[in-house]
Amino acid sequence: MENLQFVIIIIFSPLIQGIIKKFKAGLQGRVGAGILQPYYDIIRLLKKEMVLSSVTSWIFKVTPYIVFSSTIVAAMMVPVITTKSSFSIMGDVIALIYIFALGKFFMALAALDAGTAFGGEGSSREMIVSILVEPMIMLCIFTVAITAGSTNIARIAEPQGFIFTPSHVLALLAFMIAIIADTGRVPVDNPDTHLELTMIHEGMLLEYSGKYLALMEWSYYMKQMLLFTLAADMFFPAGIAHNIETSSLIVSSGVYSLKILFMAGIMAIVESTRAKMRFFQLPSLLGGSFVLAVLSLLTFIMIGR
Amino acid sequence: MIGILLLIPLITAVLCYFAKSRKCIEYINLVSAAVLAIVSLFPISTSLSTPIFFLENMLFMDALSSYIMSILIFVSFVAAIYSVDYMGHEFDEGMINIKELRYFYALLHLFIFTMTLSIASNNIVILWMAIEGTTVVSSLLVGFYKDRASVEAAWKYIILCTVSLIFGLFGIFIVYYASAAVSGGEGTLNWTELRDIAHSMNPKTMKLALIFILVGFGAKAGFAPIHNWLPDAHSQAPTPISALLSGVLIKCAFLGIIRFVILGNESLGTSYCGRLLLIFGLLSMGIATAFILLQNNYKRLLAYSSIEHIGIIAIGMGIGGFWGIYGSLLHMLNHSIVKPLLFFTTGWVRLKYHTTEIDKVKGAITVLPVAGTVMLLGVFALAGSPPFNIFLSEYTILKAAVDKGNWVTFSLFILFATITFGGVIRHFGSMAFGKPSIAISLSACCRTAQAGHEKEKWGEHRMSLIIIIVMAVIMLVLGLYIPGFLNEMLNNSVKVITGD
Amino acid sequence: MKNWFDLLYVIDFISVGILLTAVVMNALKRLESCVRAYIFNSWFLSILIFFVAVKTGNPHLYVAASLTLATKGILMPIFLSKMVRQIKATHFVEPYLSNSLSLTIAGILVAIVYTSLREGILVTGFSVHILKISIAVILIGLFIMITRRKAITQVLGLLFMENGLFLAGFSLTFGMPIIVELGILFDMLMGVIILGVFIVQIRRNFSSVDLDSLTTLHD
Repeated sequence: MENLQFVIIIIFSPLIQGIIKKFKAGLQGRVGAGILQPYYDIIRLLKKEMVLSSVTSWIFKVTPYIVFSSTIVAAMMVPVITTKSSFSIMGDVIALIYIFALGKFFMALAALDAGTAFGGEGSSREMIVSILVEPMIMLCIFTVAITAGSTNIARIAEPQGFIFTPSHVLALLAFMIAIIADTGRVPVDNPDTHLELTMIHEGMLLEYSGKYLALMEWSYYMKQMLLFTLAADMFFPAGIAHNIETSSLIVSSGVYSLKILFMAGIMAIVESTRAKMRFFQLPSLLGGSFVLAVLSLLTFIMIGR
Repeated sequence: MIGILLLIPLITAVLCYFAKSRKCIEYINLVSAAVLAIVSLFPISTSLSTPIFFLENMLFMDALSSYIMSILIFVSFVAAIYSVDYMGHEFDEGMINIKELRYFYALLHLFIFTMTLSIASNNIVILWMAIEGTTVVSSLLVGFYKDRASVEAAWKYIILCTVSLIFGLFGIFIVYYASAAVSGGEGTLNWTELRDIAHSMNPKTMKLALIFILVGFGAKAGFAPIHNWLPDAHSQAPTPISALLSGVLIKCAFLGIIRFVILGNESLGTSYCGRLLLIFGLLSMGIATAFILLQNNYKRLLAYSSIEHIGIIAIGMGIGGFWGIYGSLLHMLNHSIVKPLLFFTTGWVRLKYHTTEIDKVKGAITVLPVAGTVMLLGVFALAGSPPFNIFLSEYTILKAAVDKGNWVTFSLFILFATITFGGVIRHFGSMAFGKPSIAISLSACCRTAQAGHEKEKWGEHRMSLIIIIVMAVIMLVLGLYIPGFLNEMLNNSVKVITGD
Repeated sequence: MKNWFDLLYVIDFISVGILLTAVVMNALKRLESCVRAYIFNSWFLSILIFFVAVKTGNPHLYVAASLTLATKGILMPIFLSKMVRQIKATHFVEPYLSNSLSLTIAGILVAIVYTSLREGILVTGFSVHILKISIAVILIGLFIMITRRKAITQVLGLLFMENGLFLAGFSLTFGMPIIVELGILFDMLMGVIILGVFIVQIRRNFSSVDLDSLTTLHD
């Protein structure tokens, strides 16, 4: 049973996306689409006919499957409601980052493969953002991992309660900025539009249609929920179950949904209160949060907690 | 007694600020300078043999501080007299108004107060506060004329010195920490107590502290490479203030360095501090020599010469031993006589020629017979030629270098001193001799037309001319022979430093 | 009460906050934000002294904390804001290095301080961390002073250096006699006021507060 906790991520990720959108709409004074809208989108896309560009190669056709499956593998590695699943042994945080990177790599290649200007633009921008974001995530993870004594996510998530030390707080701040960058939210990128100015993530998806698009969008929702789960596991793991008894699993699910809803709320608030930054200003923002991550590691080394 | 010594300049400053007329301000200034000189004789003479304390041991005077205090009192006395004539002249010509005059005298005495406080302090933090106080007050004086160059000089001065003093204060904190580590509880901030426990203070901590203190206080004393503020500040200030800055302030900062070097010597042995002081001293001499040759502004030249001489003083202290320290202390006095003398005479040159460029000044001896001649004599003294006093102290230091076998120092010193000799004499010689520049001979013409006026003018500035002549005589006398009381002061001060 | 402190590592947080405001100062583009960073820094400093006073029970630390708050937290910001308004500056800091580069260098400085002070000063207790943070703040203040073009930002860098120094003194000595702290604060206050006077005069003489124009004196 506990081995199927990744199914939660697969099933509920579009719901989380819908909740974020609804929350944003409410903050912006609109009614907005319903929270189940992403499900309807995926179903609709699955039924549609695919149109492929003639210049694409096998990479274009293979990428949606690779991205989807790699995200599912990543979902298997992250403890969602309990740390005691059989997959937890392979749940190494660094491996997780590399699996994400695999998906990103193929997405970028596929966008280039389509031979359009927008695809190239999306790929290059995504790569630049990744270059800046990955070291930041690594540093945050190192800080957390040193405290826990291991890079295995399950072990990191073991202590109960908040880990409320200066280094962790700084790492959390840096990690939140990293999540914003990785999921392509304002102020890094605008996920709601397909305009030229705001096409980091959307640019790479532009050529996809039908079933492929459905898979890519679903992978995007899953990655978003996974990042939230990762943040929750690393920085406030209180309430997660450490065994497979049903009662603790139920409690853990409740706490987990609260945490995810909280993070979704924060995302919505950040998106509604900030303007998107121009692309060339992104390195300053990401560089600044990189320094934040460095500081968190240094603070840990210096203070010892 | 120390209290009265501190109160006099403070009260004078307040009185000068609120005085009404020019005559009133000048009288207050002169009277206070005289009273200060007379009153200071008591503490200076008593503390030669035994130290005197005041205010719960926060202030004190021993032989070393009484020696430096007498230098301070002498230079401020002559500077106060000179300012009456100099600032009075500027006031008459309309270059400054009464409000600025009041402001000048108030700040002058406040400056003297802060310097006195720094010499008389036992508590090392009060020493720091007093030196920071001198920075703040003297920067206002440096920027006195409020034109572009002065404001820039004052800005550079206050920023560089405050930043360096912050590092100096950090060094002071480390010293306090070292003292607390010795007693295991409360440390002490009083220098006399620190000296008693200095031999048991952790050497590594003291090393770190000394580096910060040498850099911090060294910037204030004018050590290269942190000397950049000095040429600007000393050249842009009004002349009496330049005399005080070059003559006393850098010696006060050096006194601070000496105090900490004494502590360092107890804890680390004399070689560490000695080596650092030698490095700074030689570097200062070298850099000053290079810039002296390139100068075109005589006030800046004199400022660079101050850097060179503080380098010599540091070298003397760095060589160590009885004669090295003796020579260094004697050099402090000699430099404090010659440099203000030169500033005073070139002050007259500036008033007459209205320029500070060496190229534009010619024939100073004919235009200003007394001041010009004394200037030339002072320049020879500054360059280190016998029979003047600076030659004697430089010779003492060189002899100490030879005795210790310090040949590198000896040769570099001689090299730099020779080059400087040539440079300084050349520049000032071109100013002193030659036909007076046309503008001046014209105005001299006009003045001879009003011959009576001329004589009256000479009469007005009689006081400062007398001062200049007196200083020149002292300069000559000290080059030939060191009077008994001076020798005793020096011996006692050396004893304080070497810790007997 | 004391357990609560230790549990929440309050003192650690505040000292990291002091470091953070100094580092963040590198990334700020507007003068008013820089002044605000300084205000936060001073308040954190006073609160830190206050908490150490609570933890050690030393009565004159309370006086020190309130003095620090009064001068650095209230008087100095008032003076700074007045100065910023008076010189009618263009509101942008003009640095020589770009913001991200100076932010990176500030981070490197912090790393250097932490790694090089592993042995060395033999301070014990939790004041080791505070000492390292204070030295880092001093260095960052010096760095800000060197790499900024406007006169006011030089003053701000000086003020950060002074805050760092105050913190360093505090961690090394745990409260010197009150008169000493009073004196230091007074001296720095005077210094900064004089600097303000000079900024006005620079503005009047050079009609800009760009320090690049101060090149009249040179050899």
